[in-house]
Amino acid sequence: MGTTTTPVSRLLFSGRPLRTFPQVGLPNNVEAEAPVWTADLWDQDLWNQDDLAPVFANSVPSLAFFGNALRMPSSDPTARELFEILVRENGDALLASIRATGGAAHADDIFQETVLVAWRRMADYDRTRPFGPWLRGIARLVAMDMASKRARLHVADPTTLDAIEQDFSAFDRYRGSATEPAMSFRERLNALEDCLTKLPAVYADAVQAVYRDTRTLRAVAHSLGENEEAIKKRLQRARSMLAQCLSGKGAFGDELRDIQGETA
Amino acid sequence: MNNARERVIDALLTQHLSEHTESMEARYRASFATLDATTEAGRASHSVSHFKLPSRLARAALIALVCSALFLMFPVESSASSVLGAALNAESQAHGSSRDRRYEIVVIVSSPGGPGGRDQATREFRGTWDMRGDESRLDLKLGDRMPTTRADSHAGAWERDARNVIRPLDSREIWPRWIKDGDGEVAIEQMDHLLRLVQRSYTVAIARAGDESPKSLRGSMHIIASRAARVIGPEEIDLWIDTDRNVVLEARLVWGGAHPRSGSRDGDRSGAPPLFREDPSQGPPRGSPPARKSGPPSLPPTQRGPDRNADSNPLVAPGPDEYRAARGMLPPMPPSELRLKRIEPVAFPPDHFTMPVTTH
Repeated sequence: MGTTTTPVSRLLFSGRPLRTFPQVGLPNNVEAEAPVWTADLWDQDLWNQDDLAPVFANSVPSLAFFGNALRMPSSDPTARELFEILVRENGDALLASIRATGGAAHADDIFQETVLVAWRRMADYDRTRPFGPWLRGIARLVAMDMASKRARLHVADPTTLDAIEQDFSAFDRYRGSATEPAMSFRERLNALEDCLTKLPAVYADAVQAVYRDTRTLRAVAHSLGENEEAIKKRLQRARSMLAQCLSGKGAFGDELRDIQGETA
Repeated sequence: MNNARERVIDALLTQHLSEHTESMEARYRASFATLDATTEAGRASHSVSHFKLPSRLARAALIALVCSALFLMFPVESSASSVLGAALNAESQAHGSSRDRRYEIVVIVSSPGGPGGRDQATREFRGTWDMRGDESRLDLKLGDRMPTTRADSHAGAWERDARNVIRPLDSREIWPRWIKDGDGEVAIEQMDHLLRLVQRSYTVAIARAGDESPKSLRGSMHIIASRAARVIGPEEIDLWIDTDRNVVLEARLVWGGAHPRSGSRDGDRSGAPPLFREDPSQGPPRGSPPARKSGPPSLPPTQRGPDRNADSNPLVAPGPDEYRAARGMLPPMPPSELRLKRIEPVAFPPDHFTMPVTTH
């Protein structure tokens, strides 16, 4: 049986129009005519954040890495403006990935610290590469650093962290059936909404009560006359069904990973 | 389903169903305010460190000259976010240092009373709240009774009750969950936690403290924060911040709308009552507030104090709070009011936060 030799990135992004970004001032010496984001950047391997690799290699990472390289950010107001636009554009995905990485309890602190570190490190940002994964990479380091200082913060193991980032990167590229080249994270979440409508009512109700109404498991269990463990299991099952549904829509690029695996 | 995928789905669900444009906006605003405050502070220290003048006196004169010129050119009030961000930055640094800090504290607890608020009983606990780095200690007493002490030290949390019985505590017992930060911690344990909560989940208005504030606080920046996001906490928080040092001089946290506020704007406009009993022998409670004559022009009396209606669109209607009981003298339900007043200078003995050796 023959195998395809088409690069995975071509399968994903062939015919995808260029996505450009306003050419406002950037903090370091960048060429004004170079496009900020183009489709062909996706033809490169997913950015592996080489400059962050030494920190990942340490079991107890330290933000001293950032401190050593800390430079005073540009005073150019347009750089600050651009940074804010980029953060806002990637903020939803960033917050979600932080919650997936280290749980919800410390998410706000990690988010805030990530924005701060990213701004300080802006001079190192390679603008030919997507901003989202870079920001999430910093968040991962911030989370690991915080976890080394806060007993209550537990970050997932490195393998899980890699798998989480793979999912978020795939979700970044997910366009569903839409032809629009630039979908926001919120728009991509419509796929999740669609999957939610397909959940059996008993599961959908539990999901809405816990996630939308932010009720505790105990409160939900009490109102339904069941025990907490049953609600916990139900939520687990609901998440599993949602994962299958999203995967079936190609939101996590699983089928492409399979092809990639076969090709390899 | 693997662990990573389950975490991702959980995070996507939270983002999709629990987060709103408004809550994200509050988060962005808080992050960028902190960023701006930090950048400004860094830039200032950076430029000072590279600026060599022949003498300290000459440098002070130059700074004074530049500051005066800036005041003349830009007689504007600081924005709430930058004042909050700077205070948060300073309090976070204090949190990380071993400097001793003390707040006088008043907790006013009201029992629900009968229908229509009749027979409502009010009890007033007074004491001190001490901090050194991330250690904290609260001493509270009711009237002339013996104080109860609760502390969170590096060696663990402990309590000494009014009968002088000492016991170790589960750290979750220290405070009832009257104010719950986004990360599940009780925000009141450290001032920077409280400021972060305000940044994140409250709509703020700011002005120079005027007639609406006690005399000792006039000239400082007065921030009024109204709860906007769904968090467990007081409906309104007043903060008086010394913008010279970026420290919170006083704070007043008010729960519920039924309780009359002491020193409210509806009171005596010519001199709002002090939040704390003022000791005439001590003069102003701390440092000197920014002098009015060198600051921005005074606002007309009717405009003094932050506009409580400014920027007051409720972002997300607060949901019903779930307060958690904590064993001890303080009830699980929140007080009607909690006041804090910075006391300085202070120096605690080295073992101030350590659990005393019990002789029982």
